[in-house]
Amino acid sequence: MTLNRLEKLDFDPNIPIYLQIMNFVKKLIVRGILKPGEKIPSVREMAIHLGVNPNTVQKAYEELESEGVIFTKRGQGNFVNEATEIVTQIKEKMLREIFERQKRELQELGLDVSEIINFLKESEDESHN
Amino acid sequence: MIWRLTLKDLKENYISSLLLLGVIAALSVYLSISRRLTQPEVAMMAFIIAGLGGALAIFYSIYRGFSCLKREKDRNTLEFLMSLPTDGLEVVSAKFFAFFIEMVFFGLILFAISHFPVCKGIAQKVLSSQELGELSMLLLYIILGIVLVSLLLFLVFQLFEILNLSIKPKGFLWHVVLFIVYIYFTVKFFALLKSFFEFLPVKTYEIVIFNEVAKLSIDYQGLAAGVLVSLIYVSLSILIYNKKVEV
Amino acid sequence: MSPTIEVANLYKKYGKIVALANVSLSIKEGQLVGLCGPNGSGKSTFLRILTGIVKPTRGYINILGDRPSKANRKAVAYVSENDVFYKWMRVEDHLKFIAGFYEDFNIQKAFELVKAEGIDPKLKVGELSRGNRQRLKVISAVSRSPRILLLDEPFSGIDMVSRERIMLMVRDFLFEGGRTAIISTHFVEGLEGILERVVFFKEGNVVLDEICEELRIKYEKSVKSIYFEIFGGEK
Repeated sequence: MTLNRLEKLDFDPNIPIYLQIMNFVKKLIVRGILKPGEKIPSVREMAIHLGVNPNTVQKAYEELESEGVIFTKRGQGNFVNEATEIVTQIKEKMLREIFERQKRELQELGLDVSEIINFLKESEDESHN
Repeated sequence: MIWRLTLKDLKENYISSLLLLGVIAALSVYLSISRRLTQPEVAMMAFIIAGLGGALAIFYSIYRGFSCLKREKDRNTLEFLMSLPTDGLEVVSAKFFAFFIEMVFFGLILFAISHFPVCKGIAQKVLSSQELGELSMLLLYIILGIVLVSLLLFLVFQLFEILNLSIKPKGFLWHVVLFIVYIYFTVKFFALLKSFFEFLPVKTYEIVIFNEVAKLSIDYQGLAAGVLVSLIYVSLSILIYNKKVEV
Repeated sequence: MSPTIEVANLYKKYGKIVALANVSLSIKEGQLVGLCGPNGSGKSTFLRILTGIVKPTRGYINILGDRPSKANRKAVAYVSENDVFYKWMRVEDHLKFIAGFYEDFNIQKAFELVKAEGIDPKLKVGELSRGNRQRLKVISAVSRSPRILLLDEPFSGIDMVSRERIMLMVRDFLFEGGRTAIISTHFVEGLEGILERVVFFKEGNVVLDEICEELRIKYEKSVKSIYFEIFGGEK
């Protein structure tokens, strides 16, 4: 996994950075850039790439490990969970989180769910044309 | 590391030393050319030049001793020096060693300037070889004396500067008072130490042809007292630098 | 494990002016600490006391197990905010001069960095631009392997490019591991991700001392917004 191909993280300094790093890694897994069983950049490599304190990266990795997303092989580094279901699981969870957030926002505007679904269908048809 | 600091100080100051020598050389040349040299005046020239050198050296060594740290402070480099893994012992000693090396060269060149062109060339025709030999010895003693006095003055004024830096600034008047007290004490202290060495000889050097001018006494008592004062003053400088001087 | 840097009840007075009033801090190994506060709040004085350039009026200091001393300074790199150069020295002479004081000075690395920053080593330091002089200061520090790095406003008063370059050098150096650092700065934005902990000074006192991520977790605030809150200005 060469870091050059990885994009940078434009993190928000108001939100815990370790959470943002966790999301970053999860996104890479969901998008297939990091595959199940693949080695992920070391704490130090990631820290330098993102410009973030290695201790923060370390914390993010530890949390990812406790969530079962990655695991550590002593002396060899950190790896993505080999189970292929992990990708779907993370995908689902992230999807859910994103949609919950957006749904709340749109509902604040006074839109109800059926309006949202119609709008989505319309914009999808438009992009096909 | 003292050596590295010494080298740095040498590089910083060699220009002013050369300037001093340049002034003396220029004055010497002017004097040599302008005066019509007759028999007694030939050798006199050598002493005039040496005396000139001596007078300038004394002012120069006071200036160098008194301003060595001040210049560092002005240029923010005192802070730099203090942040290095070095201490007062190395910094203070290095300044002295640099000045010492300069003074040795100064002495040698002053000897050459005063000795050769005037004395050797012209004096050879008017003085006997014995008189010439005595002239050289006398010049040597004088210049040695100039160098030693300069070194002592440097250390005396270096300590004075360090004292000034470590005392909280109270205004110009206080510094003047401190100066007067300090010089008075130094002179008294030197005299006191000199009297301790009464057992050491006083060697008087006379040169026959110059009755009034050429009586020089090399005082081993004074020399010993000077060395002792120097050692004490350097130790005090190092101590106060380490304990009290800050940026 | 005992802390790398520890001060307690540190007090410093210059004549009638109190620069530091009762500062107590404890910094463990490997921590990257930011020091923020308005000018005159005591940040520089604090760093200089740690280096040993300034002696405290009273208080307890312990760095690497000892008071600030000549031996300690071999493992401490202090980068001053002042122009601390012999301007008549050439860049290469300056590096060689420093190399003579530190056994761990990697002179090859220093020359490589100088070259990478586009500085001509044959130039006299006095001929360099301010940004380049600042870079040289930092290069002199990161070419060593000190256990502690003390930076006093390394990003102030220089052009943006120099600032970025210095940031990269400092970051690469600190992420090598085993380095403890205190960075005094106004330029918090650039350091948000790098700093682990931030200490705010005001009029010689510590008014805030927090782990940066804690600030984000508890208050959803970046170091920059805390800075504005404490030192006034519109939110």
